[in-house]
Order: sequence, then C-alpha cells, then structure tokens
Amino acid sequence: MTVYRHAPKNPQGEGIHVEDFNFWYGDFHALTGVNLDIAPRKITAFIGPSGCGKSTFLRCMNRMNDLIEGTREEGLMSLDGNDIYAPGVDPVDLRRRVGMIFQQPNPFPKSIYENVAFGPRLQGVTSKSDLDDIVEESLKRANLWKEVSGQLGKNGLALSGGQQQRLCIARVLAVQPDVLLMDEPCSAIDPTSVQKVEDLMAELAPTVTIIIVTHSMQQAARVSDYMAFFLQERAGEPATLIEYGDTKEIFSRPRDPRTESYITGRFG
Amino acid sequence: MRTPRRHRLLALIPLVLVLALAGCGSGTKSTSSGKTTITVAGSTTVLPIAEIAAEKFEAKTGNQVLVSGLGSSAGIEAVISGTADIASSSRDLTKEEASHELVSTVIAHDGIAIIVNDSNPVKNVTLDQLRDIYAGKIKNWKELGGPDLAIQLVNRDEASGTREAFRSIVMRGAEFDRSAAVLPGTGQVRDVVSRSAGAIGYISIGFVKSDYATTTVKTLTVNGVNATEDNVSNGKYPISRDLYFFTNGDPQGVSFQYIKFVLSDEMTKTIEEAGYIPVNWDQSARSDDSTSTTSGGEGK
Amino acid sequence: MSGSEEQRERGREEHDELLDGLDRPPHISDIEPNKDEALAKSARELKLMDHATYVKERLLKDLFLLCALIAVAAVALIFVFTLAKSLPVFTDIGLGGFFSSTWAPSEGHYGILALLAGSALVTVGALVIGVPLAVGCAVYLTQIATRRVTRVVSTAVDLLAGIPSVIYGFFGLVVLRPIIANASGGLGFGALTAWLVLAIMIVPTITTLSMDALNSVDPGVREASFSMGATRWQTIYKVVLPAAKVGIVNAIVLGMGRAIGETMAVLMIVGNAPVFPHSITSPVATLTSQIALDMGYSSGLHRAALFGMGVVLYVISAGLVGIVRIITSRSERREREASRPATPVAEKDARSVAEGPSASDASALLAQQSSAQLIRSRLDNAKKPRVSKNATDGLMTGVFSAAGIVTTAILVLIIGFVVVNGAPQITPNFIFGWPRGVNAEGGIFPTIVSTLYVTVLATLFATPVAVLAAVYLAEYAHQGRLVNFIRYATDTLASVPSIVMGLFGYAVFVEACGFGLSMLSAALALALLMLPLIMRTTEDAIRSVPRFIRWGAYGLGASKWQVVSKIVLPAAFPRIATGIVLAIGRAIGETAIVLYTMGQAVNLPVTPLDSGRSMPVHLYLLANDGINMGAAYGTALLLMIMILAFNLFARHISKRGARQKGGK
Repeated sequence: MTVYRHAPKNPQGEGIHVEDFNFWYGDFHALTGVNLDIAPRKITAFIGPSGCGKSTFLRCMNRMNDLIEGTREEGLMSLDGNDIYAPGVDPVDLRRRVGMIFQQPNPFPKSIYENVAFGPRLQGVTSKSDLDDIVEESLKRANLWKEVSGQLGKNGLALSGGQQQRLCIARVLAVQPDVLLMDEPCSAIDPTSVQKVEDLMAELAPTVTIIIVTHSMQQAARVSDYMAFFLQERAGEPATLIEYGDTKEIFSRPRDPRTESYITGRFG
Repeated sequence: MRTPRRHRLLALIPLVLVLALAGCGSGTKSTSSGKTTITVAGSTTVLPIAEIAAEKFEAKTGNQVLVSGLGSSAGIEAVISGTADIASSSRDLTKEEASHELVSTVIAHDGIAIIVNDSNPVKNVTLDQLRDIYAGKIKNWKELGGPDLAIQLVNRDEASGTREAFRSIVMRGAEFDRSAAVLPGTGQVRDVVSRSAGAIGYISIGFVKSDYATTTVKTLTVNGVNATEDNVSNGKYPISRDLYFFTNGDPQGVSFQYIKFVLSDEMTKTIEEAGYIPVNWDQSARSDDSTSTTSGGEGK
Repeated sequence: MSGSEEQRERGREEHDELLDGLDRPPHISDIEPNKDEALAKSARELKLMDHATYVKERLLKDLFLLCALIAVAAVALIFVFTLAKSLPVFTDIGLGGFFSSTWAPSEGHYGILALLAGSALVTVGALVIGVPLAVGCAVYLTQIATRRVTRVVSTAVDLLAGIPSVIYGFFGLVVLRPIIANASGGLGFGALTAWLVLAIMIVPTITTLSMDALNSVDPGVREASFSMGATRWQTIYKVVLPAAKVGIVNAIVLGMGRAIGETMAVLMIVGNAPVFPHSITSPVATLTSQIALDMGYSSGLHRAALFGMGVVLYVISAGLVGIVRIITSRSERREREASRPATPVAEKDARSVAEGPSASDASALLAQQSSAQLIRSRLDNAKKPRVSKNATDGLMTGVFSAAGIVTTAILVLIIGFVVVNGAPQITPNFIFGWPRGVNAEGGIFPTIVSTLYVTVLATLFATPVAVLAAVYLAEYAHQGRLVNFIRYATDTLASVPSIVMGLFGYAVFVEACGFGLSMLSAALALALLMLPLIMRTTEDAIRSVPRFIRWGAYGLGASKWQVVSKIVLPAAFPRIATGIVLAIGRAIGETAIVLYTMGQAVNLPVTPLDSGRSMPVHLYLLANDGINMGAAYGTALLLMIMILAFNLFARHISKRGARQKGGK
C-alpha cells in the first residue's frame, strides 16, 4: 500500500529497518503493515494528523511502549541489523542507544550538572573528571554550554523552556546514542527557541540518526531529509504509513492523493 | 441534572436504613409509663449477679435496671455524684469514700483463687510468699520449689475490686511490682495464665472452671487450704471478700426492691452458678426484710 | 415563580431590619452618573445590584466563615479545656513530679516519664517496621504493579484503613499475643506485639499519602529516565523517590502521629505496666493506654494527671502537624525559587556558541565529532557494576512487590480471622436479640442501635458545618494568613488522638454541659472527629472542579452563591459524598471517644440523652473479659461488615463519579 519513492538505501545494513510492523494497545489495533528503512545520520520526519500513530511508532523504536500495559507488536524492527524485539534483547540497553526527546521538556528536578551526568552515572562512570568532561562536551554539543557554564549547580527547572529542551538533548547526548528520537520537541517552546533546536538538529545530523515527529509541515520541510506520512483513515481502524520518501519530492510532487490533501491542508 | 440527584438519593440509603432500624428498635422496647428505671454501676465482678437479677427483676416488676461494669471505684464515684442509683463493688469503701453517706449491703461472698499454668508443679503458696511474689521479691519458681522459670506476674487494673481485695488481704501494705502485666478482665487473666508456663494470676474462684474456656488452669492452695466455695464460706480460705451494693443513704423505692430481690432465695442458685457464694450459703437464718445494712462509715 | 419572589421579599426585609450597618454595595451613581440622556435611553441600562441579592450573598459568606471558624474554635477549646482540667498538675503535682519516672496513682506518684518512654518505644518500633512496608507498598502500586493489581491492592489498603482499631487490638490480643508468648516464653504482652499491630495500622496512612506524592511526580521525568536507559529500580531510586521525598516524609510524620495517638489497639496488647521498658517482650504502658485504662475510675489529682497527659499528647500531635506544614512550605518555597531564579540564565544566540560567530557548517561538524569522540572515550572508562543492573532491578522489584503482597495478605488474614470465627455466631437472634445472662449470651441488638444512633447524630452535626466550612475555604476565602490558620487548625483537629477527644468530650459535654453519658455527648465528640475528615475531602473536591466551568457560569451572569450551589457543589458531589461516607465509617468504629462519653450500659437509646453501649465498646469489653469470646467474634464481624460496606460504598460513589466525568 505504501508509496515508496527513493527509498533510502543503506548498503551496510546500518540504520533502522522495519518490515510489516503491527502494533496493538490491548484490543485496539493501532498500527498496521508499516514497512520502511530509515537512513543513518539523516533527519527523518514523521508527519500526519493527530492520532495517526506516528508518535506510537516512534515510541516503538526504543520500546518505550513496553512501559504501557497490554501493548503488543508484530513484525520486524531492527537497528543496525539487530532485531530490537528479539527475545532476550534488553530494552534498557536499547534505550541507551536510542535516546528520546519529549514534547514537554522534562529535566529532572536536579542541578544542570546532575541532569547531564545522570546517564553516564547509570553506566557506571564514577570518576569526577570523566563526568566533568562528559557534562561539558555534551552541553557544548547541545549548544548550551556558553549559557550555563558558570552555573551548573542551578536547578534544571530554572532554565527557560527552550533551554530545558536543549538540556534534555545534552542529557541524551551524554550517553552517546546512535539514534535520537524527537517527539514533537518544539511544540511546547517559543519560536526563537524552536530556531535554536532546529539549528542544533542540523548540526547533530552528521553524527546521529534523528527521527522527529512533528505537527508542523513547515518544520518537516525545513529540517528533514526524508519524510513519512502516516494516516488513520477511519476511526477504529489501524493507522498505517501512506507515503515515504525524499522530503523535497514529497512536497513538490506527492504521489498519493491523501498525502496531497494533507500537505495542502485539506484535512488534519 | 438527573444523575446528581440519583447520587444524592443513593447516599441517603444508608441514612434511611439507619433511621428505620433505630425506629423499629425503639418500638419494641418502650417502657410503659409508671415504671421506673434505675442504674447500677460498678464492679465487673458483681456484673453477672446484677445483670441476671436485673433481667429477672424486670420480668417480674416491669421496672428497668440498667447495669454497667465500669469497675468498683467508678461505680462508687457514680453513686456519690448521683449518676447511678446503686454502686456494685467487690471491695469495701476507702476512707475517702466512707466520708460520704453511703449505705452498704453485702450481697455475696467471693474467694480469690491463685491460678498458675497447668504445667507448673508448684502446689501451695503461703500468704507471705504470695505477697513477696507480687511485690517482685520472689522472681523465680525455683524459690518455691518449682522449676528454674521466671515468674510472670499478671495483675488486674486498679479499677478492679478483685485487685483491691487482693491488695488488702495479701499485700498488707507492700507495694505491687509495677512491671506486672495489668489486664482489665478476669477471662483474660485466666487465658493468659493458661498459655504461659511461668505465669501467675488471681481470679474469682467462680471463674476457675469456665464453660467458655478451651484451656484450663491450676489453682494453688494458700496456706494449705483449697480454694473451694465451702472453705470460703466457712472462713478457712484466707483470700476471700464480700461483694457489696452501695446506695447514697438508705435504699428507697425501686432500688430497695431490687436489692431485696438480689438477696432473695430466687437469686441464690444464680449466684452460685455465677461462681459466688450467696450470703445465706451457710443457711444462717436471715429474715426477708433485713437487708443487713450498715453505715458506710463503719466499713473497713 | 412565587417562591423566588417570596425569597426576594424576605431578603429585602432582612436587609431593612438587620443589616443597615453593612457596607453599601457599590452603586452605579457613585461611580459615574450617566449624563448623556440620549445614550442612556438607547442603550439598555445596567441594572443596579439588587440589595437582597447582595445581603443574601454577604450573609451566606459570613455563615460559611462561621462554620470554618468552628474548627478553629474546637481546636482551641480542646486545648483550653484539657489544660484547665490539668491545672492541678502544675499547682499540686508540680512539673517536676509530673515529669518523673514513677506512675503509681494509688501511692500519690504521678510521673509520666515511663509512659512517655513506652509511647516512644512503641512508636519508633512501629515506624521501623511499618515505614518500609508502607513506602514499599506505595512504590509498588505507583511504579510497578499492573493496573488491575493496583486496583486490588489499593482497595486492600483502603479497607485496612477502615478497620477499627479495636479489631486490630482484638486481632493482636487473640492471634499475635499467644504466638509471641510462645516464642519469647513471656506473656506476649509488650512492645513487640504493639509494633506488629501498629505497623499494620500505620501502613494505610503512609501508603495513601506516599502514593499521592509519588503520583504527583511528573510522568515526563519518569519517562525521560527510562528513555536514558535507566532500569526501573534506577528510575525509582534516582529520580522518582527524590522528587517525592517531601511528600513521603510528611506521610511518615503523619503516620507517626497516628502511632503515638493510637489507643484501643495498644491498650489491649501492651500489658499496661507503667514502668520503663526493659525488654521488647515485657509489658509496658503508653500515655494513651494509661489514660484509657484509668479514666473510668480516676478522681482528683489522678484525673488531673490524665488530663495533663492529654495535654502532652495534644502538644505532640499539634507539633507534628506543625512540622509537616513547615517542611511542606519550605520545599514549596525552594521549588518556587529554583524554577524562578532571581537572575534568569541568559539566552544567547545558539549559533555563536559551538564555534564562534562566523563558523561554517564544516567547523560545526568538526566540533560535534570531536566532542562525541571525547564523550565516547570517557564513557569507556565506566566500571562494570559488581552486581548486574538487571539483577538489582529484579531484586528490588521483588522487594517492592513483596511489600504489596504482604499488605494484602495481612488484610486477608485479619478479615479471614474475623469472618471464620465470627460467622458461626451470626444468627437472627444474635442480631436482633438482647444480651442476656452472666456473659452476654444472646444478641447485641441494643449495641447495633446505639452505634447507628450515635453515628447518625454525629453525621448530622458534622456534615453541614464541615461542608459549608470547606465551601468557605475553597470558594470565598482570600488565600492568606486566616485560611492558613484555619487549615492548620483543621489538620491539628484531624490528628488529635481520639483518646484526647474522649477526655475533652467527657469534660465538656458529659460534665460541663450536663449531657451526662449519652448519645448526645458521644455524637458531639464524634462530630469533632468527623469534621476535619469531611472538611478536607470536601475542600479537595470543590477545588478539583475545573475553573473554566465556574467562569462559564459567571459569564452567564450567575451570582457567587448560584455558581457554588448550582454548578460547583453538584459537580463535586460524588467526592464529597465519598468523604462523608468514609467519615461515617471512621465514626462507627471509633472506640476511645465513645467509651467515656456514651457510657457502657447496655441500653436501647430513645432520646439523645439516653446512654448506651456501642458495638466497638461491646467488643472491647467482651475481649477484655475474655470469657464469651464467641460473642466478641460475632460483634467484630458485624462491625467489620458495616464498616467495610460503608467503605466499598464510598469507593462505588467515587468510581461512578469518575466514570461519569470520564464519559462526558
């Protein structure tokens, strides 16, 4: 069903490969028949109207949905050639490799330093100088270092919304993830901060695979290399992937009429 | 708006139920006019006698007698303050209490049995040994010829007339060991002693054998005398006492009738069944009208 | 209709007669007289505020304030009366004598130190056992258990909270004491038995409050921790527990208050020896148990000393409530300061940060790559933990689950104990008959009636006052010192040990007011117990009504009272009803208050001035006598059925309320 155009190729088997993926919340069949390959070290955007399953799909990629009772999935989803749902795979370890940024900035109610050091500490980094280095470099990568360098002891909640979101990004970068999942990372922050986060994504892309769920078509157009359009056509039926391909091409020449309707603003 | 109202009605259901219950309850037992109600308060030891007498008395005369067991002291307090008509007591008046115009009536005799665990080989104690045990001076059964086992003291609460009687007969001025367990009921003392090897306690002899209890206890002889009704009645058993009714001034009206009923032959058997010794046990003649009242001031 | 007209009429009269002195409502002519007549005619004139409406609103507000102040008055009165009754402690006994170690009233010694030590020992031990169980249970329910398990276990916790203390005491006396006696070779009375029973009793308090604290931790923070690759245990230990710390500490302090103030259960199992505890299996006494034991017969200095102990208990519990308030307000202030710093962290242009103002994409990439390199190398220095994270996680999950299971098992055990022993006793004759004979054979009908009678009466006293007071606090009061004070008073009232409430009820209603030992005295004292419970839940319920619903009504021109009575109270009704029903459950099972305010005579009350014996008191007396245990089990079962029925009914109401809100 899905319209593929220029499906990204990853000859080394890198990136994320999804085959005939289905997902259920209890009895509710939320996603059906999703097939796609996500290019490594590129930005891929998931778009679609509310309830189209794009966030659900995103949360499947680091198995956050395991935390919800009664969820179930079928099909294949692999990261760099490894099935992440294979029996015995530790979701905790998976999440270290696949970091996540949420819609609402959610720093821990601790100091800025402790927020960033949280992940490395979990991994057993105890040396103060190692931690100092990691905190500094991570904050630098998140473009936050200059703003907070003198006040690492401050509570993370004392930052502005945009700064909090970048702190959350620094926090994830501190554990060196291969993939960064961003679930509408800009919908709860002000426009200037959005600009900074988008710039940051562009900077990070060459080193980290980024997948972003967004409601804003403009944002998808601005930041992403590839784009996937999800849609639930009728209430009660599972949503699925409609069209997937190069962002510019989808915007200029959508193949599926439903995609066209959506990006021209006819529904959603 | 419909649903909230239904909620309100639902919430009212228990309320209505409660009121209905209370209503039908009060209907079954309205006291007809002309009948009076008197209150008897005090000793838990006397409670059984007072209660059964109250039931029978009510059936016979229609007058209601409310009986409550607050402890002897509380009962006497209640009569002095006018809250109760009759105080039931398992001890005589203290000096302070005797300064009020209370009139006492002996309604029964009672012996206090010394109980130990069935497994305890000790058979006899003297009054002096008993005093030393309860004063905390004798702490081990081996000092009484028994096994090497710590003595676990079980005492009664201060409101208990049994404790008061025990204090005046056994302790004779010595102080109780305050680290003893203080239990507020006869049955509890019996139960605890029956389950703990080193325990010792004291209860009315009428409660030593109980139809309710699933366990048994052993009574010690005191100065070599068995704790039996006969020995209490003939004065051989040393730890015995009288049970009293106290009234503020001479008993009048219904109170007088009730006291008279308690002392009548009709109650003799009941008092025996309750484990006490009726005042006419020894068949010493007592005329119907003499309620053997003595002025409270002379007590002690 | 005619009704509303009549009302308006009455309102006007009321105004004319009674309230000339009140401030006049703002009058439109006071503000600005409309001079442009043409405009005035063409536009619809703004109606002046109706005097009657104004007066009615004002009167209602004052009435609500009055109700709120009743709680304050009660707290003050309890303290003043108890203190007044204990005056001889200062004049005759002397503080030195009062705070000495020998308690022997019959010999003129009134030292309470040994009793204080007993209270402290019993409380500390109960906390040591109860807190891990309770907090573990709360963590299990909020962080680990599946929804279905949570529903079952939290019901169990609520039901444990509902079981009256006299049944806990009974359970301790009949089940735990013999076990401990066998194990220790002693009598089985003492601190150890009390620890076990009290630990169970404080679990519901601490668990419920800790669950509130844990649930209020931002779920996003939890998710963030998981998404960073933290295990469940790491998330709980490093993120959730620290965030909920203040709430949990408060829960523990309140649980401590509960343990110190507990009377009946302790009285039945500590052995009541007023000496310094020399072992945990030897008999001890506590402040509360000694008051309950001696109250019935004490007089003179002895009685004054008991009231003095009441004052001590009162001060302790008010102090604990004060500590909770200080902790809470401090942490709230700290949070406010943390999230709104005096000098906000300046935002700088992100572009200029990584590599300077005129950096190219290439140098940005370089900077990113070198940073990433460095982080990777530092991460490689990580030590392998000695125990695998997953093993720790599994172990701790097991520990927390065990806490939940133990709590549920205890509930099942206690209910099972009462049901198995009590069921054979329940016959129509037992329910509808009168106690007869030496050992209360027969039925317990008068005690059932007495219990229901006094509970209905207390509910009628407490509910209107509590609900109106809550309306004042939630809707009318300016949040400031007065409200804070009222709330502190309410919290204190809620934590006053029930035996102190009983002392107060005896001194004021029985003696000073001359109501004697009666339904009325007991109901008034019980109303004081119910008042803060109902106030709290009602206030919460009213506050949880969304603000915009109110705005909607105001926008349509409703007056304050119309908004409150037509919109807010109906919306809050299910939760208010839940609170009332739960308070009724508490009142039914209350023993210490009733013991010395209602009397103990078996009687079928007709007028409120009749005395009687409630079911908990009957159970207490039967258990103490220790003779007719069958009747005790039967009474315990009936009592428990009544209270559990009320509790389940309350859950039903609140669930229905929730479902209705959710459905629409």
